[in-house]
Amino acid sequence: MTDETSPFLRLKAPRPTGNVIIVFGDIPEDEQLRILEKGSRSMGAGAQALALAADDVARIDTLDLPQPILMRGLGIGTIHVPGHAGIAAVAQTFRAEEGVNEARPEFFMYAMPPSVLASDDLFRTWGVARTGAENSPFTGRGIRVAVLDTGFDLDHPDFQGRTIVHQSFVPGEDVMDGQGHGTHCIGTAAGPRGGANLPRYGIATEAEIYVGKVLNNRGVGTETDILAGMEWAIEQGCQVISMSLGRPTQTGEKPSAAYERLGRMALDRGALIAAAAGNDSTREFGFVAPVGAPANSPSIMAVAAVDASDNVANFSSGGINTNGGEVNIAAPGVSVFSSVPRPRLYDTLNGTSMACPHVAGIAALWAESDPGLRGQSLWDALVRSAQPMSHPASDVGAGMVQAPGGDEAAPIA
Amino acid sequence: MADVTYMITVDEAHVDAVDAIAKLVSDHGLTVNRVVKGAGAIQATGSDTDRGKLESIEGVMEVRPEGVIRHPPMNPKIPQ
Repeated sequence: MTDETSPFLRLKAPRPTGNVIIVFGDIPEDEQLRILEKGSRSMGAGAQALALAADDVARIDTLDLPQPILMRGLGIGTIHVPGHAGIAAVAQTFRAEEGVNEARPEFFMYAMPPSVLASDDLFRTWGVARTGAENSPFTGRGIRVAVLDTGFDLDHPDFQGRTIVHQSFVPGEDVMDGQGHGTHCIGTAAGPRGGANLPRYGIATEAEIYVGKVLNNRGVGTETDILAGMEWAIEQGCQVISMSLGRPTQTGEKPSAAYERLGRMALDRGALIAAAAGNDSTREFGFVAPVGAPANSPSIMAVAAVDASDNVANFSSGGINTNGGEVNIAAPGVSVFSSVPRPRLYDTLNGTSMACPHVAGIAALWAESDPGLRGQSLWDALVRSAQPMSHPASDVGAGMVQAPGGDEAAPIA
Repeated sequence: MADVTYMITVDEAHVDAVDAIAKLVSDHGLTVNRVVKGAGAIQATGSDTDRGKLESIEGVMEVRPEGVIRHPPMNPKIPQ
């Protein structure tokens, strides 16, 4: 894999595993083991090297090697460097040995989702382009965007130097995202402008990020934790609150009074809450599920998902119920590239959970563009500026969310 | 009797009195875990036989076992 074929993995900034891989030339296995043991002694460990069949290597945790291992018959050795310190020097030591063809740090490798390359390019994701954020002069500067989810990887390298306020509502867990969903959503709503070998995947690239961890590291949370997170975000003065979470509802089900009260409180205090409409449809079989809760609250904006060709996502829930159960707006929610916690750093996911933070980010751009756009007036601006789509309003609401000041965007694929 | 965590929602007229209602819930022997004033919601743990007496408290609109929100596994093949 090269930089040219994998622009989104930042191979110029690879992530080492802490091991050194040694590729031996045509020398006896005993000699290979001796070199590995010598290397171990040079690090002060002095552990005996172990020759294993490739099948056996596949069954052990190579991220926690107590001793050097040699893959029998392949002439490939691996040794762990404690604390990752001096990996390059250890590799250099091995390279100096007679009979060693190559010695280098080992790096994490990931599968490359093929769909990423279909619609994204080197400079931005398709969602950044389709929403018009790419050409908008606004960045969300000075706007507080809260994302209520599984937390956030505060040490993600793309977010260093950003203003990040955080609070965990999960008993016994800090804000660190042990699941990944929250970090992905924050990346879409407020990730960086991109850079060398990395496309822009964030919408409001200079927004202030407020992280409310309301779901635990298994992605599970109670409704009261979520309500508490909503109240916190409102009291923090966030102008935009993104909730990529919910539960399915039944046909005819009314919205929860508790969610609706906070939705109204948010609008009254100049905040807009957007929530994922839900992923419970199977449209290829003609089944459209009703918008889930809390997106079914009249005062919470329900966000549907579309793909890069402007098709409604197969899973995207629809406006089956009334009195809040309508879809209000649509956004990119298929093959969405964004940040995830270290060491992986990036992943591509599908869902109305991915569409919702696009709307939150665009809302932040509108809020920056006009200080008068807050709460209900911000809602109205989003709906008024949305690009009509050739789908029923019950599927996409007012249409594709659009950034202020951007050129009229078109389907990407 | 099994422990149940309830979500108690007060009616519109009693949102401002949610703390006082939480005190009544506590007086009924339940453990109040959290009160979200803006939502008019109380999370309390008691037994599965407590529902009736909670519903009888003036200002209580709804009592039900607390729901759980659950993300699917992080997987590109599963809608999130």
